[in-house]
Amino acid sequence: MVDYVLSPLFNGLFMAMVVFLFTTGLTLIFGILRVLNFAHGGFFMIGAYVAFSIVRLVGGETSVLAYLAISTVAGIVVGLLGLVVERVIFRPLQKVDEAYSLIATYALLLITEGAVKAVWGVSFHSVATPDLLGGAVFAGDLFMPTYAIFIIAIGVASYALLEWVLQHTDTGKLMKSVASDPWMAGMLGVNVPRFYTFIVVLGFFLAGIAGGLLLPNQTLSPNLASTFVIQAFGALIVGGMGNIRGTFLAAIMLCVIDSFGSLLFSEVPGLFFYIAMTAALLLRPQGLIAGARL
Amino acid sequence: MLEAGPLDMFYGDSHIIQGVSIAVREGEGIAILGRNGVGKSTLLKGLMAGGPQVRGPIRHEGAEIGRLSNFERARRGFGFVPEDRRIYPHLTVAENIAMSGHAVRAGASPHTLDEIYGFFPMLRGLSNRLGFELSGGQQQVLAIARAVYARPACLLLDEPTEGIAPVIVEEIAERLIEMRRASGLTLILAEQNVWFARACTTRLYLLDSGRVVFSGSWPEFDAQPELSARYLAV
Repeated sequence: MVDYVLSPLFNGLFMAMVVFLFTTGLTLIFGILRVLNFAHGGFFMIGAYVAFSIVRLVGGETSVLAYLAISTVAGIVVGLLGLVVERVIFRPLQKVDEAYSLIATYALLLITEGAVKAVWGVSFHSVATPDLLGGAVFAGDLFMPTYAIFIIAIGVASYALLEWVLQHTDTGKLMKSVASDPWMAGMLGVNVPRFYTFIVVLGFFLAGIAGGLLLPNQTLSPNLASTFVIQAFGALIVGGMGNIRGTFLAAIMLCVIDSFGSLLFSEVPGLFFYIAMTAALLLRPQGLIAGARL
Repeated sequence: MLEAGPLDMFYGDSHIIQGVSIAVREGEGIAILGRNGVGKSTLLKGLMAGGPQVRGPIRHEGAEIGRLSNFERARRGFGFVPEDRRIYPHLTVAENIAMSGHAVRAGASPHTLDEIYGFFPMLRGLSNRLGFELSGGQQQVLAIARAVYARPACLLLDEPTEGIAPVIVEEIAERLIEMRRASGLTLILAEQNVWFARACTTRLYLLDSGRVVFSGSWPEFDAQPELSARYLAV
């Protein structure tokens, strides 16, 4: 029971929340601007490196609170980079075909990788999990690392917060309105370009904070940018292209299936993510939550 | 209050509006008449920076506004009701109306919802209904109410009567006439429905193939019955 059900379920949920945290900013920007940001992973990576630098600067053991604060600072730094990226790259992309955004943001990904190599070098780094999150909890025979529980809680809380903001606040309703009909929003007096800037900064902030939060789980290297890209695009597409709820559900579905698959066929880890993704798209090509923006 | 032209408007290589000049005084109502496809919608969208490439001057109260984006024109007091209405399906009637709060001019305040429901009683009972739950006629009234909420100085309506039940068309006409009288609202109305256009405006421009073929008052238009036969009859 534990080995074959609860443990893979737990691991799958953990991985799902990792993917979800990675993907929120990507989903937000795609949902509203229709720009598929290939460089998202690059800015996630920069967030992780910034957090790493702060941890090294502060030195020693970090408390959970300090760790959250450091992740937030990483988010702010990456958010500010988003401000530049929006002006220089995303804004001109609004006027041209969507295909151009793939090329432009892929180039941006390469730039982020180059920048990370230039600033932090090519060697591998790692950061210790904060003391309080370093342990594990046993529920019967089920082994649950505290850090994984923490990430699952953060993932669910982030989802709940985003969902609440989108469904119940004026800002959220405006986000959905601009996403579904930016033209009319402009006619009604909404400064759509400035709103797009805000969304990009928010999306980059989420990428940066995710980089910080997931840092203890990762080995830092310039390859980190592409670590979650496939899973992220999988969750984004299966979720229905650009809505938070769909991305959340798709991340859980794909990662839990993958977790069980990897248990049964341990010689091909990760294969079942693709199988689940292919099956989901064959059965429901429009995505889990179709047609909804955000 | 608005002087525009001669204007040329393009969609890609298509030269839709060709040398059109229009002007409207404060508080005046003008109609832009013509069959489907003569460029009425393009002209209105061009005035609102809503799609076509526009060449030519557009002056609002003496200032050139041709380079302003759509939201800046909205915030100068231009309320636009597009022909497809563009009601937000996920917002309630009240939330749809309040969306144009973004277009309120500096120093002004929007109407209250209660005032809006006073103008458009049909919407009062629908306040919490979502946009997608409304009939076409209700959506049209809502689209106009939404534009009116921001207290625009000038309302641009694109075929508000298209596909709407006659009883609602009459009600819309009454409201527009009343608002023009009460608050000096300027009206630019693109229409095919001559009865409605005549009821709401004092002057008209008749368009054919992107050009103005007649402009003048309604009595002047009536004095040349061949205009109607040639440019409006189907």
